[in-house]
Amino acid sequence: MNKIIKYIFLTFLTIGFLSCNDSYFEKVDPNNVAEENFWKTEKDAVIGITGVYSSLQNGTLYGNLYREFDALSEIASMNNNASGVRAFETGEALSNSPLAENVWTAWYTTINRANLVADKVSKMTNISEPVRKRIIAECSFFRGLSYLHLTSLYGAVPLLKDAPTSQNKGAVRTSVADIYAFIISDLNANIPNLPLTVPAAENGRLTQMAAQTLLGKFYLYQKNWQAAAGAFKKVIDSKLYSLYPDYTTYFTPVGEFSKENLFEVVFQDGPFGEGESFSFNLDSTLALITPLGGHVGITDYANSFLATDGETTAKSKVWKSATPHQNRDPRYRATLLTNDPADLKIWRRVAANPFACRKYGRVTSQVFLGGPQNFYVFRYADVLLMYAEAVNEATGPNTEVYNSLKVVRDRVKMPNLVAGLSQTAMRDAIRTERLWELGFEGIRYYDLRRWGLLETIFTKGAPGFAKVTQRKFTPNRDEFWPIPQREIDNNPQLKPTDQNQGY
Amino acid sequence: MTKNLFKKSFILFIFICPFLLMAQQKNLNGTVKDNSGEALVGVSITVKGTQRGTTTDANGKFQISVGQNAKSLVFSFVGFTNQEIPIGSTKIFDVVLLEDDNALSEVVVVGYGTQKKANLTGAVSTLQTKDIENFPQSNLLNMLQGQMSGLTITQPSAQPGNDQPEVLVRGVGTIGNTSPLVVIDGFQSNLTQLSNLTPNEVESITLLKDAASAAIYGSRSANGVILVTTKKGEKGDKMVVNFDNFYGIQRATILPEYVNSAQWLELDADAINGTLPTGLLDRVNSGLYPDSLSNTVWANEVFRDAPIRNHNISIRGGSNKLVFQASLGYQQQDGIMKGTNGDRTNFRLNTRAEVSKRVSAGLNIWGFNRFSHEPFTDVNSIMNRIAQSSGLVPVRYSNGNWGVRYEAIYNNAIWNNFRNPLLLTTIGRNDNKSLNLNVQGFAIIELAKGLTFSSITTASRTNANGNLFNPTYEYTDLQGRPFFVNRRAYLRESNTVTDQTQLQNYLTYTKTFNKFHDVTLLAGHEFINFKSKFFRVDGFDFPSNDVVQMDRALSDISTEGNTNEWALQSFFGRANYAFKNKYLFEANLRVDGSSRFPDTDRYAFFPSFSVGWNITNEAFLKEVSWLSTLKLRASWGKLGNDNIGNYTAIQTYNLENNYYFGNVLNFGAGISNLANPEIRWETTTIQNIGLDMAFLKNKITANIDLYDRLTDGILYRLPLPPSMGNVNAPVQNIASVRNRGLDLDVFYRTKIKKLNLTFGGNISSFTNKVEKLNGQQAISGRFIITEGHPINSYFGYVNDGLFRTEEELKNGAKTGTSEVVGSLRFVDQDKNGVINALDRVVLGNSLPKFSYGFSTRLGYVGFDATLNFIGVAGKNVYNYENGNRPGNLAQMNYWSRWYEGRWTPDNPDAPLPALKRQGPENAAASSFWIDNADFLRLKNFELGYTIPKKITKKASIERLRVYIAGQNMLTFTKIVNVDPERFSNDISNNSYPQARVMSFGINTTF
Repeated sequence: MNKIIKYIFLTFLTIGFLSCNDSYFEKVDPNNVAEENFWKTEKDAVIGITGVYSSLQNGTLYGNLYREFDALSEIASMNNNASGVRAFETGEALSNSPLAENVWTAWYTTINRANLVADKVSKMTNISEPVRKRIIAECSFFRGLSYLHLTSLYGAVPLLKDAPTSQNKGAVRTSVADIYAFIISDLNANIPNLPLTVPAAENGRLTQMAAQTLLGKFYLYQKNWQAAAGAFKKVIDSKLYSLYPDYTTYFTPVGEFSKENLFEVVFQDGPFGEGESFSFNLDSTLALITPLGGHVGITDYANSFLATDGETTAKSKVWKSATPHQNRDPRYRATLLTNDPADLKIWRRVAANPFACRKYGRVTSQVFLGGPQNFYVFRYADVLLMYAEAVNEATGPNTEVYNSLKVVRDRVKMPNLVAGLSQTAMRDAIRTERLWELGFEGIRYYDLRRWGLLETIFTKGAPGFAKVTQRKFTPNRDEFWPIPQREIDNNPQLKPTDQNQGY
Repeated sequence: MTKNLFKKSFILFIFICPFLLMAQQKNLNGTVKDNSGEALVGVSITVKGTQRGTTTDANGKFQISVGQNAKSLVFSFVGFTNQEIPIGSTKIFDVVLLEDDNALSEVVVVGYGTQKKANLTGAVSTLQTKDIENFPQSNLLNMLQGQMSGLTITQPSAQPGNDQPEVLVRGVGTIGNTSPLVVIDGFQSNLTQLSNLTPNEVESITLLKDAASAAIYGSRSANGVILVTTKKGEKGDKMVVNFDNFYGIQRATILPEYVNSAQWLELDADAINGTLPTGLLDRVNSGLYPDSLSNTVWANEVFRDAPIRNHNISIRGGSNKLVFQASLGYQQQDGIMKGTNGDRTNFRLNTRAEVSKRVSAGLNIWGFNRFSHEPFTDVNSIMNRIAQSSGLVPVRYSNGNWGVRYEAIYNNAIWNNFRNPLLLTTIGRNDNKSLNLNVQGFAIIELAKGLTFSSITTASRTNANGNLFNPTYEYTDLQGRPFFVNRRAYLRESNTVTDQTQLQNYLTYTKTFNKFHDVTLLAGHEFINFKSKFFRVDGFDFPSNDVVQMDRALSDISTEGNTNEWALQSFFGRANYAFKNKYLFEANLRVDGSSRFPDTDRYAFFPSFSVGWNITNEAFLKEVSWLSTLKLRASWGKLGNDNIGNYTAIQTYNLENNYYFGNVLNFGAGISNLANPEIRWETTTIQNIGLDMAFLKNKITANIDLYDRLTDGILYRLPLPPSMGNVNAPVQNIASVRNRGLDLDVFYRTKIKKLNLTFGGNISSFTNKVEKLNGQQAISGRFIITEGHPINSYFGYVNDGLFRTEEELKNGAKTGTSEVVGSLRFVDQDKNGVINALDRVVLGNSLPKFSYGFSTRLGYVGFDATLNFIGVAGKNVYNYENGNRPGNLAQMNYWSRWYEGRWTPDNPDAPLPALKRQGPENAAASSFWIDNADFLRLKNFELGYTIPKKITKKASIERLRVYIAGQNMLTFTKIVNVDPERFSNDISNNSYPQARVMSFGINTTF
């Protein structure tokens, strides 16, 4: 017995002293990859840029909420504040608005990831030059896309160009003009490094013309019409893009990676958490739903869709009040669910919500963990309309303008615009065309902001549209969203007085 | 499997032990009395050098047969000095035991050893668990409430398996994890394991509060240390079998009262400025429309009186060579919320063998197997549903189907997200099973006189399994349309295996030099390795709700897993020196190295020094007979905290930011946590001054401790501006927090003829202040951490009543344009005419100014009674949300006080604001929602009767005691509708309620 104890004792001692070895302390995170083992190969660089793409899937961005901002336009209105959007409709949003903070955080996540990848990839040694340049160009696109949205919503914002560090150094607000100047020169320098087309296995990755479109949008927002027209012209002249023939099915998975798409955020259903939440299933075998429940499609918007003869319903010869949903611009039924008997079979209509969104909806009984639908960020129809707008503003309604509009209207078999419109009439026509073409795609709110029409729409309603009762606009305040309170609280370079006016 | 194995070894022991006892002849008898001539009951009498023994009966009489060569009898009794009497030829012994007039000769468990209480220089509290073992509780931690000064325990809930309290030792020392270290028989464990021990297997609990006592645990001691010592067999102990049972009924301490259906409709109409259809209220009140206009009280439907029962058997015994203590416990508990229940089995076997004169070795095995069940919908969500459901929907329609839908009865009341709370308690499951097994082997070797070597190896494994299942279902509304539907069954199975291994080796040396110089030295080494591995699988769509195995899932199977590891290596030492038992000195040093820190700065030193002066041992106090003890203590030391997450020093990328290109899914990198390679240890410096006093032959004792606890370099993720994107901030050594406080314990013991009376009380008070936070503020919701104020203070507007007139409304500062007459009015701190972020100020905090506990025990012949009160003073809670909102959420129900108390034009002096759906002022953090939650609670009481031994002896029962016990039977508080005892960060009024328990029990000793 004594011997046994002696052995046990010795064992304990031995184990005790063995454990002094320092290697026992090398506990490397087994769940993530450490910085010192990363950024070594080209594959790492691609994993890095993939993370930037993935940031756009955020539910606050293209994963869900992005297109709901159309509820702040002539297209729809909100009947609850679950998403925080309605507070911006009723003029009640404060600096602690969760939406203001979430949108801000989401875009800055993309910016920081892009800055990080650009910085790391520019310092890598084991990488081919074209791959390096391409990835850096992708970073500059994503940074630009983010700043386009941020400046539109918040005005001057911190301009971050460098890789993030763990130090919270903070940054002051940079004027919109300076941010634009920086992004435009950055895009111009990087666009040539992107490929014109990508192989199918890389579908969804950025092409030159997508970046060209973003550049054009910056010029357009800047009201630099000539440059905008030039940028969009390059896209059109590349002849790589055309409209998808069927407007209705285009907004289902069959339209993905089609020639109309310049840039889309890729989503897939299935087990990997890559699904989205903005599309929806209309399933007549279940209790019917109201798509985008909080959204109320505005009746004046529904009524504004023309009859197939190109006239308003009031003036049309082919439209009949007995069959109000027939002989209309096909975009009407493709965009909205109505009280047409065929529609009523697939959606739950209530008096308070007479028109609901149909775009990006599927009639199916298949259940998805997350939706399978790509979100089309830039599409060719938008490019054509933006080109028309830029040319009309720069030189007036010439044939270029008419031709661009014709392409868009031809797809839905709507007649051409009458010839000889004035520049102002053409401006209105283009704006209305965008309303019909791009409904529920999250573009209208940004359009209204850049046209300076938000206040009018909120306080008076669009021409021919009733004012939405709950809308309120406080001048010198509601032009911009509040800088998130947490930004002001925690950014060492910002003072409370750096808040936007009125908050 | 393990349970079976345990049962077998348990039975084996029962059989083996009797063989260790041997029989011989010679009968002795006598009586034992105290010096007042009163018979002493239960005095233990042992034959010296043998395992043989007996106890005195109710009349103080005893009888014992001893061997021919037995030398002497030893009489021992708690609170009395042991007496040894030679046997010689005497056959009748009339013994007078003297009260132990130096209770401080008591030995106290400290880190890596024991110390005479008289020689302690640190701040230490102790508790013998026999005082609390019959409390009708399932969680040992909750039984400690109010028992020790400096220990603040807040129990939030009575949910089976989920009643873990918030535990604080001497205030809030850090911003992150404030849990104290738990050490069970030398094994560095955690609060979960402590809470799952039964009081029947625990001998004593020691709380190490200051640096002098805790520094020996170095980097893990900054939040205090709780030492648990389990029961062991004793040499020469006769076999004792204890069989303890209780059965209790639990009921919620408090359930909120809500308005009735008609009142709800009125309030809802108020909130939206709507008008109710004529006659609607009459229809509701008529009770004639039970399907569409019901008047359900949901809280009454969901809660019930639920049973709890507990059985525990333990056997203790031993010979000179081998001692053991074995126990087996089982507890079954139904939850007060329908659909919740749990049970737990505990097992323990402690053995120790005297291998030789100088070597002893042993094996301790213990653990638990626990199970808990709740419905798929978690209990907090069900609490939310109760608070969000008006009574208009019936529990079941008159056709027997579940009520699932609120019928639209007037225009704006479209309310689609009603969920029947009672129905939710029946759907699906969230079952958790956890098996914990600890094996500890030890050897203690006397290398030379006074020099002992101890080696302890402990391995612990916890295997936790989760089974979460949501079945398919379809519940139809009144019109027979499917309304509440789930078409996809969902199963999640998860498993976490946690392993911890600990090796300890240490030497202890004790010697007295020249009569007056007592020296004790300790030196040791310790190594801890921790690893936990988590894995889960999700699957959807199963053949039926009964065939639920993961491989039958038809779609969307997905998995996730992660691993966490850390290691800690330590060297420690302690030196005690006492001169003539008058002047005491102690020094501790621990050197810790942790894997959580970068290798450049892995090790840190944690020293402490303390001195004590036993003033009563000085000549000038020798004559002061009323003063039994007067001791002054002082200590200083540094402690550490390494509770900072495992991998915070190295920047890593999370590759789960996947993205499809074409049809190919690609890894994508993103930073989830920013790293800080410059991370350092968090150190706490505690200064403590204490005074121990005892008067009147130790009838009254009092201890008072004053402390100053400064934690510096607190590791904290200082909030980042959102422009840094969606990443977790790096952990930085950024903050410092100071706690200053006082702990006071008093104890009084007396005996008036046959009445034994003890009274014990304790008070803890502390102030907490953030001294430094890099000049920044960390605002998170309604809480702020900012310099000069306590951690997590409430932050918001100061309420200034209501706008009561149009005039006031017009001229007052407002948050925007939404305020109306009757809205909350706030103080415009910066006088700029607008209520905005700049008007937010610190509004107090949730930490109590005082927390206290007192208990009294009475014993009279066979009767005994215990009353145990706890309370806090100066505690504030943020009391907004569920039931307590001014109408700004459509589906919210209202506490009944809103009906009479809300502002309306007819009630212009109302205390509560007007109901109103929109407007930021309703939800804004403000002092309006802060309520005082002081309380005094009869936490436990117990009334017992021990049936006279002469009766029970006939059934060979040594002791038979029956008792009733109650928990939370009385509460005095001003706050309504919520339990005043709740977590400091709880602001949502949706925690599972506490229970009031009434129980009946039997203790049997054979």
